[in-house]
Amino acid sequence: MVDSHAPLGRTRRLAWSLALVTAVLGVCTAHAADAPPLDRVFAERVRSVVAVEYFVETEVDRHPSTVVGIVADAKGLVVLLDSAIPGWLPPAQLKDFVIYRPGTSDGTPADYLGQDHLTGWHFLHARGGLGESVVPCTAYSTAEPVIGAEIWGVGIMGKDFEFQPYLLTGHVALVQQLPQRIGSTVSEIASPGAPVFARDGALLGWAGASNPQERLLYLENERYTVGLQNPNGTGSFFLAGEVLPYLHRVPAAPTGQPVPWLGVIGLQPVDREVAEFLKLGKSSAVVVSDVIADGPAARAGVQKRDIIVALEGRPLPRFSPDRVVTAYLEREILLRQPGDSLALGLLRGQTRVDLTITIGRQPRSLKEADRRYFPRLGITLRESVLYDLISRRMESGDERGVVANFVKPNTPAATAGLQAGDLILAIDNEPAVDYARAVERMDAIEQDAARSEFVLLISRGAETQVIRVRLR
Amino acid sequence: MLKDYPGASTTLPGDPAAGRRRGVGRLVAVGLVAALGLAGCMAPGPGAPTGAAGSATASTGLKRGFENLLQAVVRIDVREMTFDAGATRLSSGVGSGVILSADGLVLTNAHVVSPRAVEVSVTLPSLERVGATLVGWDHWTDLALLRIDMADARRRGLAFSVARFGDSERLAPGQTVFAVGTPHGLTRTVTKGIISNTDRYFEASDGVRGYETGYFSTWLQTDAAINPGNSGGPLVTEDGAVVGINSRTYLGAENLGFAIPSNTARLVMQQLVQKGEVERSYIGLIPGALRDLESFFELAINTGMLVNSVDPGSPAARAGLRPGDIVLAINGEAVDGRFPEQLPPIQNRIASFAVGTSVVLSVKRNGSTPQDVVVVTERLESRVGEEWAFERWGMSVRKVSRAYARENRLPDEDGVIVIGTQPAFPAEKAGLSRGDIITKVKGETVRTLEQLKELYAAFERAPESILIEATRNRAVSLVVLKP
Repeated sequence: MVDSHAPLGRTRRLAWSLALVTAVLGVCTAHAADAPPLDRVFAERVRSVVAVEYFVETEVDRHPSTVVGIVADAKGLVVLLDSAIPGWLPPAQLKDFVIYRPGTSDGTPADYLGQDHLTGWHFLHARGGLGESVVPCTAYSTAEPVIGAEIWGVGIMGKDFEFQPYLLTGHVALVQQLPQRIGSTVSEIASPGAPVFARDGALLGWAGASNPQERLLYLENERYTVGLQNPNGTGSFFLAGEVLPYLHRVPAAPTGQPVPWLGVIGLQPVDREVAEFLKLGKSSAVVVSDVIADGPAARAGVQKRDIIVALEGRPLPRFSPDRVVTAYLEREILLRQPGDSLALGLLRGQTRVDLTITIGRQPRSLKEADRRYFPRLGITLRESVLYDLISRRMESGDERGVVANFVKPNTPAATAGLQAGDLILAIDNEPAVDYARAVERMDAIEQDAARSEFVLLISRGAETQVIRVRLR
Repeated sequence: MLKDYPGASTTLPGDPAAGRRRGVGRLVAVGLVAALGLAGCMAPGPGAPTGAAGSATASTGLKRGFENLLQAVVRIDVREMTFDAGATRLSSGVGSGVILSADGLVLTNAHVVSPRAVEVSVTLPSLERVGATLVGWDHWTDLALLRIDMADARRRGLAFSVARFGDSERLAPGQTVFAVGTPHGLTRTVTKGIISNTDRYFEASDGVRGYETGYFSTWLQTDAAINPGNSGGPLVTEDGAVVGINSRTYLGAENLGFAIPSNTARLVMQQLVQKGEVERSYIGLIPGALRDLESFFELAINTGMLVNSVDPGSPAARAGLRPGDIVLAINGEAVDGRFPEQLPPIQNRIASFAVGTSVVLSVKRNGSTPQDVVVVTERLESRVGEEWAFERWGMSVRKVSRAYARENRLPDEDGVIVIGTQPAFPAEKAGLSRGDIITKVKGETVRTLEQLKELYAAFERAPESILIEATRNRAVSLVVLKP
């Protein structure tokens, strides 16, 4: 949950160990004495929790995954955390979703509806619904966590235990704004993806992925600093107010949704010393590392190295840690729609520049990129997307190609030296500028059993290389 | 043992050039080991015989030649500056060398003595120690040339022999050779073996302490034992003729040693004597072996050199050369780059042109008729720029070189790369770390190292907070360096 783009050299710290405690004077939860017995509340609230099993299918194998989600409506809508499914995987490779109610072994097949670009959450729909026995999370009253209050959450065991639910309890230790409001307990309070409740059953929030805990490891007189992460239990949760308003953000389709986009590269936060140096007072700032030529920001006049200091006329707020401002800004952009205006206040050298960007639509993402596997050759070709070019610093050049997304081990191509991630610039001397044409070309090679070789020009790192693949 | 093998990678993390290493992947430079202090146990050698072998029988001639050689092999102790810890530090090591002129020229490896050396002393076969200075170095061939402090040597009446070069072209696999040097500090160790291969191909973009090596010559391979500390010592025939300069070994293997052929060493030495450096031409073609691709490119066997890669912004790129082109001839002279072993000589041919020469390449593309392309060479430069340490900032840096900028597709050659920081010093506290490129300081674009030294001097005179712009991958960060 904590933004992972740390500024230069700053180590990532644990969310709960950070300094500023936002003490929230929330609604006091009911006294334990007045609350119904916990076992009864637990049994009721477990009806909003499900386990989800799915498979990631690659060219050569299938990997099972089991995650925990919440029930979002009475018709069988289930929501999973961002971290539940790798975001770069094309939806076509996600197979056989089955939803299980805790403590049961009969699952309900489900369809993958897609990932919301704002929250990162994944949405599933149970075919034919989940029946009367489930209760959506939206059915409960909500409460704000209060430091020291006793709270509890749901843990879910593995498939061999029929996803048996179990109770986890703890006390609210901390509430922070990162930039969403996140509550923390010292020990695990729920399985990631399960809800967290007040003692009386009011919904407090939704457990996120666990943060790595810093530990010192002593091995034969050597001391190491390690981060340990518990995949099955977490001590931090999004507050209910950060969850319920977004549960309706179901993508219309798994891919191809319009995502707001500015066309900037590397938004970097400034720390307190730099903010002071820039005379920003109590506000923060974000450096625009680079802009995509002809992108929405560039068209509006944003230049590389501009420093964003204000959004819609308001100075950027300061967070602890400072780097959260980047996530805040990105979220503000994603809350808007392509075509909307966004007013930015920039610092360019000593000069203040104010301009308005018309938000654009994000070009095809990695998971939306077309790809095709050629089983005989053992190669998957994927169209290159902006991300490929940016990571290779090639977005402004005229070199284009298709990506070897997968190379099956011990095939002729692998033996010839082709590696996954190579950018193929030419196939048999013909430039692979156009993905469709490159696929046609590769298909012709795949179909031609009499062919003895083909030659690729590939780009890897800073160099290109001619590779001869011997087929017979 | 690995840590005793300098020459292991000093590339920065994420450095794409690390992938450029070709050929034998685990060849490492040997040399510069910490002295074991056993040298004094060795018996002193006999008095120096003259170089002439005018004896009656061949065997006494061989014997005299070899004895003469032994009186020309020296141990080299080096103390040198290092910059990678965020400060200037001294490190010391031991290597070997061979005296090749009566006026005290000693040939050794570039990875034994580099321009960073601050103190070089040479231990003569008589066990007397005398100072020496660096005449010049050439990491591309891993050679360095020293000159003994002759005034001191004469004053003290120190004697030594002068070794002579043999012809490395005439070596044959199976021929007996000896390696002489200071393995693990054991002065004047002679090991015996044979020539295992006369034409070993190996090049690495970071082979000599982070500098490029092996692009312009192949190596001799021998099974004579070569260990750390042998570096810079001669590989000799039975009659004592120097046919190679021992340089590398294969990590984790036994009896796989590598030496620079004497015919390469002789030419490099000449130029180092004349100019203190070897100036080479560069056009930016990275060749690949054409082996098995002849039919695809519609070429006769043993014709042409494949262009695997063209360095962006290089003369070849500006002349319109592209990867996949075939160079058939250089200035009308046919080229044969069928096998990897044939590539260094071709590279050397290009490198041997004077800088700024117009070279005519006959280039074939996509089965078309060959066309002449004129390429004007530029000066070959290392990707490793000049290094420096700013002590009070606790930061050491290396200038972004032209080659580094091209290799990393940087928009220009501005900036310095952070190669080390000291914990709890201003640079580290500001958030700078190894690999960051500092592009601006106090609003000024950092174009030269001198410029940064001036800014640092101003900081030393009047310490104040300084705003620095640094990039890591594609992210630009601002940091404040506080006194």
